[in-house]
Amino acid sequence: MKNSSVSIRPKDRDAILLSLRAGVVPKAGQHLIQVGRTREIETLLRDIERIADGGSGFRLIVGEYGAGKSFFLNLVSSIALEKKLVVASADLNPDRRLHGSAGQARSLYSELMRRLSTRTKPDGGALPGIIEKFIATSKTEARASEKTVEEVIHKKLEHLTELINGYDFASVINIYCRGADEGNEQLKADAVRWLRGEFSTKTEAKAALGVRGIVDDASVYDQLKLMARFTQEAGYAGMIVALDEMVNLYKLSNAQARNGNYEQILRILNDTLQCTAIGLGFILGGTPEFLTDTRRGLYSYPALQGRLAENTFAKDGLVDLTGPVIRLTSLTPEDFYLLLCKIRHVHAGGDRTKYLISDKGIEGFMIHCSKRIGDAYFRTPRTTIKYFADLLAMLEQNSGSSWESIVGAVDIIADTEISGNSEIGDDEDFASFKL
Amino acid sequence: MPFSLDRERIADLEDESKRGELLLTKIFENSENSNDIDVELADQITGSPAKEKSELPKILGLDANLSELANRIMDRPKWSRAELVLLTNSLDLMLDGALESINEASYDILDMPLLEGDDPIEINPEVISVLKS
Repeated sequence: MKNSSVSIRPKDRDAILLSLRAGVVPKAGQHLIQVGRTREIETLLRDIERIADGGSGFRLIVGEYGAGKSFFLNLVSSIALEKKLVVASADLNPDRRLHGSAGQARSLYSELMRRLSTRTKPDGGALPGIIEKFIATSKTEARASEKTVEEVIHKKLEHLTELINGYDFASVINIYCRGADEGNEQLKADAVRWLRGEFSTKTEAKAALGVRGIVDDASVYDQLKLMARFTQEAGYAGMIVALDEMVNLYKLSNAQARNGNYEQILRILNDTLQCTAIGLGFILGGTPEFLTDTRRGLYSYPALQGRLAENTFAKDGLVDLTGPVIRLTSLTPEDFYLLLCKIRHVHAGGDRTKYLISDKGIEGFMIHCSKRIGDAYFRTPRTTIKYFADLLAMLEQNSGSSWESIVGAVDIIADTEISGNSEIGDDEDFASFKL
Repeated sequence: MPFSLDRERIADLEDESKRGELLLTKIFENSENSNDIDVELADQITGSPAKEKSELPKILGLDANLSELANRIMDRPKWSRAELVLLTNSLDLMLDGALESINEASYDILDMPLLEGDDPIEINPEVISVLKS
């Protein structure tokens, strides 16, 4: 296996290896260990470029547990950040959904806003920087045009007032600007709280900021549309919303709650197809049953089934990437072999002379894992990748040791963290109690 | 079933991965090597000469205010957030917006941030060494 000889920064190397050894998907540097899936990446890259051009996007990334959905979502998010988009990402769970009536949708929105990222803030917390960059640009424009800052901001945000919650959104940005001018940190913090959807009552928001509305469960999608437009006004190319663990909607036992969420997805999909969500893209990660189960999955909602139905000719190795659904096939032993080669390359900092294990050694490691845990070593690879990264760390620190002697002394256990399909009750409709 | 790897499939996959690697490298490492920096870019990085004696040189293609802030920040390897709030306020700037703009400019030209962390905020020594060289 030949890898390119471009050196890898120690910081990127360490970040990737630390994540892999902790059994989590790396937040950065994913491109250094990406294997295959070039057409899928090209497709998403075109989506990102369309969004940056004022268009919209919607992709459902479907794959079995271990197929690499989260990895792919993170890779696409990193590409979007490089292309100067803002990324809002979150995992769905029973308390964080697209629709709810007891704060679940607002909770998802708050999480998205807390984890709002830019290229310079890839780990989240970018919202204050985005607001201040917008205000700073407005101030520069005001100086150049001899207008007041308020006039410039009003002009820039005027078009937002046509959208739901837009008037309050623009007011809150003005309030943040006033807080910054007056050195009033509390006012700035309250404005950020409002924009993050952290006010739970209108009374509280009115007392703190004098605005009438708040971000509530019903307005989450509209608020995301507002935020996408605002990021463009602040000088970014647009916004991507990356939602993982969509299977949590499939798990909802209450049909009404499930359908409420599916209705939101339909709304998002319709807006994308009609190009009415400007500069906004959605990328959702879910399992096959979340899509195709006709009893509880997206296919249980007839309007979505019609729009998400895959090309009937796309089988036996043929793919159609023009539809909203992208299927990620599970890894094969060959994919996994190349992945381990790439991890070895990253570990060596991109220097092939520093490889700690040969190609044959990698194959031997795979044979060892295969004997111990069977096909699970590559089908649900999280644990095996962790073992491999641990093995490299051991070889690095114990220069006289062979990989065989280290691996032979350790028991490899299959990854059992398979996303179950057990139902989740819905507290909206049924009070929960314990005896 | 005995373990075996399909060499032909590995070769195909390697070819496909190489295409993907090229695409991703183009996206992520567009300005990776400072060796390739041309004269115009070098001017942006190290700054055009100051017009007045009291003025600090403009760097990273930033405007006068942000350049002055970046220059002053580079005097020390580490700052507390409170110290930088005072410094940015004295220049009629807002800290989070200024950090975002400076780091964006640094990414655009050097593919790495000048300032790292939230509190304390540290100067990236790699950027300093590029600026000095």
